[in-house]
Amino acid sequence: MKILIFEKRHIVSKGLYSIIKEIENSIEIILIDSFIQFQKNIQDIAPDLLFINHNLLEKLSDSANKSKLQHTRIILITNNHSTSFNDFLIIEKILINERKIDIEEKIQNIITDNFDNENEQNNSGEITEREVDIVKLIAKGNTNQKIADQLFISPHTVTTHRKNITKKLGIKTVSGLTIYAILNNLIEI
Amino acid sequence: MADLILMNYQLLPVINRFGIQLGFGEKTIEQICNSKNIDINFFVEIVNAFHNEDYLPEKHFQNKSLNLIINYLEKSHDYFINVKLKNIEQMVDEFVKKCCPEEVQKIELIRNFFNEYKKELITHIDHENTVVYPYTMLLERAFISQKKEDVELLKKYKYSINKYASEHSDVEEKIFDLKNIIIKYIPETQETDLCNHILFDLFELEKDLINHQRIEEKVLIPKAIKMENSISV
Repeated sequence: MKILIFEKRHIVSKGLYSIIKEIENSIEIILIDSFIQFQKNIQDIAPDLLFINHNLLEKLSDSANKSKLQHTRIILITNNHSTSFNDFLIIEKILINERKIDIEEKIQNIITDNFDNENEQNNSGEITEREVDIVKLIAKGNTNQKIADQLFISPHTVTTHRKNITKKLGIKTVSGLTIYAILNNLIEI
Repeated sequence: MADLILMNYQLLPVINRFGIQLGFGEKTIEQICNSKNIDINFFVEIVNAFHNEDYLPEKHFQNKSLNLIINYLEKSHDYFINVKLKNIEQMVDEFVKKCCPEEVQKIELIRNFFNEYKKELITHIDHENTVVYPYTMLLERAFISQKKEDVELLKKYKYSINKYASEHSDVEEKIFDLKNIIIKYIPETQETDLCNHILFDLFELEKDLINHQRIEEKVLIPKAIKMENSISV
């Protein structure tokens, strides 16, 4: 997954950067702070998600580049809850004075949804190697925290993986997953 | 009545709960309800709610007593435990007996999982039968009589419908898993027909349970909360 943060205030973009990295370290994040650079590169970067300051988006609404962003999922960085843009696909707003925990939750949900979209696109019901690792650890009785520690990922990410596993396998409970693991020879009895 | 069952045979266990057995000839629903002393409106509401999942307007049950509703719910409990779970258990046991020796360990795992689920469901039902329903019936009595002693008795329960509403848990998670495990991951078997029957029963039980839970959450709980509020337990 690729995320672009277009924001002039360095503190804000760095802050978002570190929050996203804490949630899911494997995401590629590109920071851009100038309009010219943005115009020049947006098409090559083609981000899955665009975090953008609302003044900059306003400026973009008048530019010829508008159409290029038609299908990009946008998260607005703003200080005003009621800001709205009709021409863009705004999926979430992050307020500048929001608490860390609320921002984290929003970003977590956005990322999970995006992973889900990707999964639907490749349309395979089979679980990935990473997910197999997680199923094995769940079947051995590990908690999310322990799994996170062992795989060097955040507990948030473990939760995301578990959601996707449940979606693919149709199994919600730990004992169900354990049986899945044994029936498929992922672990020994 | 026969038309009803011909339209949706899955209603059979539901009408059984009202004490209606097969062989009803040409009799209409009204005739049967009258002869068996069944509240016909209540019967029609329950059947509709079961047949069509979107159909459960709370107001339809508003003038029905909690006693009547609980009576129906208790009969459903009885059916879940003494008919459905028992049947499935027997079939699962048979499956373990009939499967080939290499697979027996795996099939036994599935049996253990089912037994876990069974225990969970029975605990859930026991709690409702012994705590929630008696409390709710007493609540209704106190609400109608408005007598001090009934209200005092109610207080002794140290229970509330809000507590029930907040702890009312899903008992369908494991049944959902079990269905998926059997459909997707069961080792190759000669006992296809037996497995199909286990699945059919699981699907039916799940549907019945979901319906049961809807009646508890959309009818029983809101009605009881109103009563609690009006006598301020």
